[in-house]
Amino acid sequence: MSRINKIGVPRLIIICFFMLLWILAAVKNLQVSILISNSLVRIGMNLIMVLAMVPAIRCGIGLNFALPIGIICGLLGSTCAIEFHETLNMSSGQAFLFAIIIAVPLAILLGWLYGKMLNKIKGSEMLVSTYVGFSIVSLFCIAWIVLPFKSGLMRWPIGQGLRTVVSLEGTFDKVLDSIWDFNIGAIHVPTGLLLFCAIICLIYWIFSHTRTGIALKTVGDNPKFAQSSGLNVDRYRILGTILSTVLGAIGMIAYAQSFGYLQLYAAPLMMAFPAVAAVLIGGASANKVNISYVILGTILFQGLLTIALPVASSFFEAGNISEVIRMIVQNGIILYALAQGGKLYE
Amino acid sequence: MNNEKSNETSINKKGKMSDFIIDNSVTILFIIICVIGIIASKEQPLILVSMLLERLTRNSFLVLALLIPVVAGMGLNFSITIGAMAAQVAIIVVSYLEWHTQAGLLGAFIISTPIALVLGYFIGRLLNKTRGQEMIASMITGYFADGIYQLIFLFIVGGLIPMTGDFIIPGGVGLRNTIDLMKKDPVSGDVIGIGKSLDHVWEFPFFYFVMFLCVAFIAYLIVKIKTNGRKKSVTSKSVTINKKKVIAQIIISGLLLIFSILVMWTNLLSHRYAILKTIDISFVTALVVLAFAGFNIVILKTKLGQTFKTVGQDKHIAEVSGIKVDKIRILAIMLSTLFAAWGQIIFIQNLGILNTYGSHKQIALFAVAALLIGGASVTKATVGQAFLGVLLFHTLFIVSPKAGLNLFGDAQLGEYFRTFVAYGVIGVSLGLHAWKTMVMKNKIDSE
Repeated sequence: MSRINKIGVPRLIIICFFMLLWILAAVKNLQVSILISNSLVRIGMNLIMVLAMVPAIRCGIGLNFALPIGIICGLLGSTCAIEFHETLNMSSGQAFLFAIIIAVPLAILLGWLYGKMLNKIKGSEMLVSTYVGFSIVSLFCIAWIVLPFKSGLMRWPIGQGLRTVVSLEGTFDKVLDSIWDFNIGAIHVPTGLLLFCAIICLIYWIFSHTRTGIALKTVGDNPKFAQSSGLNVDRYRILGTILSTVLGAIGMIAYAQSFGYLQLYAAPLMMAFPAVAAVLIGGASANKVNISYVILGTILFQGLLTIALPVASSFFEAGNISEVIRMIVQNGIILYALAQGGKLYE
Repeated sequence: MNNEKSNETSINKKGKMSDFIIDNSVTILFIIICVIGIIASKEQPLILVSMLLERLTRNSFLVLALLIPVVAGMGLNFSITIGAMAAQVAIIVVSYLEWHTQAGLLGAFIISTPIALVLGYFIGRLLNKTRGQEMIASMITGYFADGIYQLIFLFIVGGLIPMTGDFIIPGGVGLRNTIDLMKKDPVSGDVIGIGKSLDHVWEFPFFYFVMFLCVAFIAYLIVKIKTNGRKKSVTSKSVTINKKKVIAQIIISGLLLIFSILVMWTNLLSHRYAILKTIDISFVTALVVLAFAGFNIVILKTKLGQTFKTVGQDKHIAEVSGIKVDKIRILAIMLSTLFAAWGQIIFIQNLGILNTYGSHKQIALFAVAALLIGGASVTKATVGQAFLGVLLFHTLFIVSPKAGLNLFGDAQLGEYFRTFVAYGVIGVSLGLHAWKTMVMKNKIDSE
């Protein structure tokens, strides 16, 4: 019983549901190999954005619902790459790097500002950050119209501003996915994408074992203790916020290259929630997290979403059931985490 | 609420002007934005006033539904979305059963009540488990419930729950995106849906209504001055200043009265303003909203209202004095959910069309933003702030596309601007509140 309590009932339900779906897929004779290929891609696409939750939770700001700040930086980097890749004659790999080079300093700047703000509202980070995220996305809805981009690949042929969906074909579409990709039987493995995720995770893992990384964790675990042992709590909180925002930006670029399109305007509005949900499904709470949780959570959540639609439509006219399941699972797990964490405030 | 405000300002008159501006900075900023927006949009007064009136009657109820949880110390109840869903379930049921017009509307009110109360009970229990994080929990609960709602109406209705007819998507499972509530009887041509059935009960020119309100208000003020004068007042200073305030109120009401008379009975005004006389008010809807506003004022003066206040101010004191805090908090959320459901029915019947999967989505965002724009905070909100907020927020809503078009050559820009404002104002208000709370806490800690 205590073991069940440790895993948590919702987590157990999700794991059972996940396994049930895969068994059903096999029983129903769906093409499991294609489902696995799709799952691999989606896991790789989302992993870094989920990883972005780790520094945020570690440094004590909790789940970073303001991930859209990082995402917007990633989108800005990508749009700049599209704008300049012809004039600078960049290859697709160079364009990808260019996007990251533009996005990261922006993310550092915004993350720093945002971290300073979070230090003034300790205790209400989650709610305020949600609305900061929403605000910045809606502010950028205006920016996508006003910013002076000129590339015909992005602008509406008539009218003002950028298109709602911008194709990455010719810039860095599938640049990571196609590195050293191979097939095992009918399963397609996007080696480059997975490798990229692994490298980023490894870098973060190494960082978390440096002096700074350990200090960051101490600050999150016990701010009072950290303060008394001479650590500057506020500075480490800002550092954690910056790291989270930067990972969000890189995560967005990795996501976009795999997806093949940039989704502008209102699309990033809700993007923090799947990342938050994935890390919670993996076993994290508002003050405890591990890279293994990130990987497990992303596999479970994205795997579940990939397979839900084909399995459901093998039974009935399923429409957009994947989206509905996403809403229920994602918000259910966040609520569960909040209800568990609520006891801390008594 | 006027009393409270005037007392506050009168007591702190000296050198407190800057405090007044800081405390009401959001509202003042909004008044400025709205004035700029109105000028830039070059909107016709007829359209502006009639649209504002319509939005004021149909949206205020939902905003007022937020008040009780604020008083009970639970912050802004983002889960009013769930009340809205209860209302939509009821509307779907009465439309499906073909209960017509007013009878159907009454049916919707009755059916939505138990659904909203039961859902409210569960939300309340959940929020008791997430103390200190009620607002984000209520927001996520709203999203979660939206998932369940979609699951039911997209994949279960028509399948497990048998429903047939033109409500269902061809293929047999799931409700259509929109349900027309203004359906006409094929024989007589009368509207038989519940759309506008509350609004159309009794309509008459809006400015008659304004005249009536002005006269009533002036009479009320005069009576107040007389009784005030008769009392041997303890603090004579505050009375004299109050008198100034009252006289100002009389003058404003008088001017409004004169304007109404000019609009209705003379040809002195230019055509732009003279056609204002064609605007009708849905009297019964307005009455329902005003009655509900009155209810919100009155309930705070009852024993129950005092209990809400005590719980909101200090849970420990409330607990010690024998109040069952958890139960009171659940009750607050149940009431809020119920009122949100009724508010949503009023809203939908005015629109005349139900967007099955969309009508409830923005409800919490817009209601909360409106209340905050009116000058409310997470811990304090009044009926007056609710109305002022709806007025300002919807003025911005109406004028911003046109203002965007006139200023920047793009109507879309204005639309994005108003969404940004809605999110931004909530973010700023919540952030400021969190900041003040932290400063207070640090002060207490250091003492």
